[in-house]
Amino acid sequence: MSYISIQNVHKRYNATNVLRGFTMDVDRHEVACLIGPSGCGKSTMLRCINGLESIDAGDIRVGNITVSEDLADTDTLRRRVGIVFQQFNLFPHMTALENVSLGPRQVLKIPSKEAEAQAFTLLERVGLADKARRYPDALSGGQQQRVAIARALAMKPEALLLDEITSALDPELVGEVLNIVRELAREGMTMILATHEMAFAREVATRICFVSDGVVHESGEPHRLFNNPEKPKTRAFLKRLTDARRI
Amino acid sequence: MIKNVVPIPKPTLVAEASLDPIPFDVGMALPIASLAFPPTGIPAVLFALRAKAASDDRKQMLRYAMRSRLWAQYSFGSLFAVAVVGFVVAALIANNYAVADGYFNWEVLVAGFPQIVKAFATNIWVSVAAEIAAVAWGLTLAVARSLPGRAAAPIRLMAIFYIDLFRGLPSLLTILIIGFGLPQTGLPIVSNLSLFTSGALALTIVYGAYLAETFRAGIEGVHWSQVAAGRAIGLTYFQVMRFVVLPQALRNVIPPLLNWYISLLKDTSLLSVLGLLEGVTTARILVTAQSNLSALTGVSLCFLAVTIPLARFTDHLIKRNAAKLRGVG
Repeated sequence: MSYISIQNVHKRYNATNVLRGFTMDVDRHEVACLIGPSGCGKSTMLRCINGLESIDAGDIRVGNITVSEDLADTDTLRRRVGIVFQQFNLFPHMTALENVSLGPRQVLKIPSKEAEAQAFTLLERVGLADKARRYPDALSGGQQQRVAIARALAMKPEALLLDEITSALDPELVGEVLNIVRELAREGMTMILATHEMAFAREVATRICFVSDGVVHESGEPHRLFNNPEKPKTRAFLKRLTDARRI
Repeated sequence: MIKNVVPIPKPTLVAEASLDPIPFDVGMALPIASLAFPPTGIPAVLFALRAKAASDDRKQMLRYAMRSRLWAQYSFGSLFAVAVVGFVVAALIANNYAVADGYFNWEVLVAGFPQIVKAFATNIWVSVAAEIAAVAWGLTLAVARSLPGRAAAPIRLMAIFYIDLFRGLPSLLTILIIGFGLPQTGLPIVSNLSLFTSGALALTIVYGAYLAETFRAGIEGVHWSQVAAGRAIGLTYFQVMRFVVLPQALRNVIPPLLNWYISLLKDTSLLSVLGLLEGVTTARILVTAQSNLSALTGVSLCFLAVTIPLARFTDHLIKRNAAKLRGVG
């Protein structure tokens, strides 16, 4: 049985149908990449998976928790599934170390000292041990995003959702963030990425899902999907990217 | 075939155009008029004369003419200030120093001042007590009003009703209702409050409503993505409020909070209607006893000694915040 199962999910904001029957299954240790034009519903889907947005119809299940039920145990869910945002969303009034240790201290009730030690280890892992006492506004975009990843990892999640985490970064800072994702993939972290970095998606993904108009239009192994897209829409999207030299 | 070819005028280059000096005449009317205030009027005239003398050196002439104009402007500004001060002084000394004596009689002022200062301490203590309570109460109301979900609707509505009610009533009315109303209820504790406590309570009720709106603005000023980030690491709604939203919101509302404190301190004078022996009441008693209004000046000085520095400090904070925002953005 797949670890994350998304069945026929619908979601609308006022007049816009963002998701129109989104269906996808992700097994443990899989890295699924959602690609597709802006506004196709990738980010919304990720936000629905850990309960930050409600859905109008369909089913989302993570492990043994069903998200779509009204009484879903969203707190337990969010402990299992971490999310990293495009805009980092670090807490500006806390140091990097406090940002990372807040969740473990308040949610997992780990004693402060221990939580800080763990947070420090995580910051070391993302290469920011020397910035632990800095506030977010004293860090570069790439460093902030690495702190944000450490903050998500601090909750020891079983899966990680990455919502276009390099889109807000200057090009020269993208590499340092992707390196961490690469390493997480190697360690077997279950991940769903929404991304515009096609080369990276091709490299780390076990599966690519081309999302268009709120549904998974076509999915498959990276090699197959990038080289032999079956559907015309997928082909057109990839061609536009090739023309723009994004691949 | 092109007929009627319109000749294109040769474009005039800006540099070329400015070669022709703008006619400039050093006027004497303004400098002479500015002699009405001699300390700056005299230099104005002198520079104007030097400008005229230097008419063959255009650059030099302009430099003198500009200085002359600057001094003339100083003159008019000073003249206006002198006029205002003169009017005030005239009002003070009119009718054989009636106003000056009535409000600024030094001996009377000094005689009553210790008593006024002592009574003014009550204003300070009431305002501090009411401010602390109003901050707590206002914060509670603001959080209640921002509660999400359908289940919290009754709580939200009650908070809105309370806030609308006490923002809509004159403070004086609330003070009368609490100060004279509670003792008549015969209920335990609330009917036996001291004037100090019931006064502070009334002000807390009023300012709690004002501060609630200030806090709400602060809470709403924190970007929703901060809430999402907090929820995403598994914090509950109240934990997000406590650790993420409120610390940022409070920082943003410190300047308006200080402004409300100034307002609250001034409103403590309304408690004189209850008979609380605060600064203004004491000053009024002194006015009757001394047959002179200088005691009012005395208590005014007490208020200003606190409110003006606070207002300056608030402005300083606002400027610093604005500079910070510019620095980040």
